[in-house]
Amino acid sequence: MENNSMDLRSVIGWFFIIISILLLIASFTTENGSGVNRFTGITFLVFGAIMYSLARFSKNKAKRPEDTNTP
Amino acid sequence: MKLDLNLVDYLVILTYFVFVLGIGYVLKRKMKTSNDFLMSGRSIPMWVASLAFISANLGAQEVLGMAASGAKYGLFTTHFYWLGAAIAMVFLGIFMMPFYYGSKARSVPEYLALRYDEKTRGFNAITFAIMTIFSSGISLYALAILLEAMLGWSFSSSIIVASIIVLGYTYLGGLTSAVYNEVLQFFLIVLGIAPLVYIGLNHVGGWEGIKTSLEGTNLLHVWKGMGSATTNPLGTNAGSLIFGLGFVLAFGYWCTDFLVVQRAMVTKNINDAQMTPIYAAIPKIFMPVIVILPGIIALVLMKTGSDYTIPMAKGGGYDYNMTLPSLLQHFYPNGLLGVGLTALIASFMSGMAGNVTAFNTVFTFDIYQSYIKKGASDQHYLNVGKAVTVFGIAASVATAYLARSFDNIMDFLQLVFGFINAPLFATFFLGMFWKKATANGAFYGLISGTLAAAATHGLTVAEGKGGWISHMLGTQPLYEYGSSMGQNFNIASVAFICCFLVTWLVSLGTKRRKESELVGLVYSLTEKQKTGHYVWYKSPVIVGSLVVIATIIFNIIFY
Repeated sequence: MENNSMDLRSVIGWFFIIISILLLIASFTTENGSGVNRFTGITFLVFGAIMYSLARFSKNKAKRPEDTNTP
Repeated sequence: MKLDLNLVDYLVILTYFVFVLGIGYVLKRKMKTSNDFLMSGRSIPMWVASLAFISANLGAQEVLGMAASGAKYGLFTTHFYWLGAAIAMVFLGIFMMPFYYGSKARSVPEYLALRYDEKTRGFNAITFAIMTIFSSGISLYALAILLEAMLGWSFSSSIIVASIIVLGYTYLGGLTSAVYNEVLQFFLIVLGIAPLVYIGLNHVGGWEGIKTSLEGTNLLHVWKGMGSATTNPLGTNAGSLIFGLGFVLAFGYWCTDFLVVQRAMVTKNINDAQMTPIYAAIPKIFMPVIVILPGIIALVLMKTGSDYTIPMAKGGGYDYNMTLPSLLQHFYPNGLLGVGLTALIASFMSGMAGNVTAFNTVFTFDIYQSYIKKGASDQHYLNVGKAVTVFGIAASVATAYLARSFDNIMDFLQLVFGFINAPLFATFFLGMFWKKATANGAFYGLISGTLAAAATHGLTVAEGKGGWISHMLGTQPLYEYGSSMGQNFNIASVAFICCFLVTWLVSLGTKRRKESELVGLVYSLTEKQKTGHYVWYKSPVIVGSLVVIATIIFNIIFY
């Protein structure tokens, strides 16, 4: 199901990447707690990127046997 | 305690809503049969099922309630994890899941039908269906109250927004959508609250600072003072705790409640089904860091004279349930505040969706297909499943309004359902591990266990609760417990023992089924799985043992 419709890791990855961008924006626009927002934003960005990469890696791995058959 | 949110906070909440609905929308085209909608086509990957397994339990009661208990009882609260949940989850994976999954039952009540008979299934299915709707409604009610207090939204607006979103993604994507969203919610809750723990620990001087502040109390111990109910904040002793919580209540919930068991039953194969609760137990034993430690930090902050305080309740005293929201308000700046609030909203919605999806499966398969319309087309059952989802949400909304109008009615109903649930584990335990247990034994065991639970509550008191039978008879209660928690543990123990004994006695005197009919349903009549060919991390016994060892180590470290 995961391969046919969507990979949940990529959904989670995108979600946390978007939230991290919002937190990084907040770190520049809020006076108090900019450091906390920035630190959490970067952490979320890294987590989101890892989840997305895992999804991409898994997708490429699944495609590889087909690729070898391609003339 | 109204929060001052800005645009970024609202954008975080909006992003979350878009994603949960988006997951439902994308999964919509996969929902072609009733099995897809109600059972996820038994194709959920194990890592997804494991996280959904914990997340289905990571509702509002867990997130807000455990922080509240952390502030009240300190590390004693970890018994719900290190004594209760972890070992029960391992037991489910190793011993019980082969029967749930191997019997091809689509639900826990259906297993009861296969093992015992239709009347036992009917009793369990109907009480479970009603209970899930009330639980979902209570979750919705609590969310609306929280949003009213924190955002100033009206009660009805909060109910409408939350119910439309949960309806949207459960109606579109069925159980798969609920499970996928539970995983997203799990990460959001953990990563949304983790910064609070980090910031809070910095403010109180780390773990050493907490130890210094709480010196002289036993709040940072797990077993110290458990020899007597009067020497620990839980108000119960080690015996009641181990049997009542660690065995009856924990095993009863984690091993027989379809809401959580369903997450393991929808995996691809029996090994995945077994490993789902065992892998789920690994993050579970670390969850106290996220849900209990904030409560302890709040307690230390108040003791050390910071400007933080737990909000006061209307009737006087601290409103411990507001511990976590008040910490978010105190420490989080705008931006992160939106994340923290979204994590709380996610926990409520996760609890509500979990209940609704368990309800629609049990209603469709165990009530509608079994008693109302047998032998209809699969499309018909798919349509019924979808209609039941809408009904479940509508009934939850009605329940939320009922809870608002009649607070005592909800307490009463929760109490009654507690009585019904308490003996259930004895029925399953005997059914799976004793081939002589009969259908009549199970049914009358359940009824007598429920009555024993009610009688124990009616004849004893704790914190002013219970004792209603004594009151009616004009006599003194038989016993007064030190705490409601202690009373609950003992009610569960009495119900379990009564159900066990009555099932055993009635089974000895009633006709049992042929052994050939019980193959795959009873331990001694089922061929044992050969797990030697699995690598160690796919072996339920090896990973389960490691989880139990880790749990024992935690108990020793924090003795």
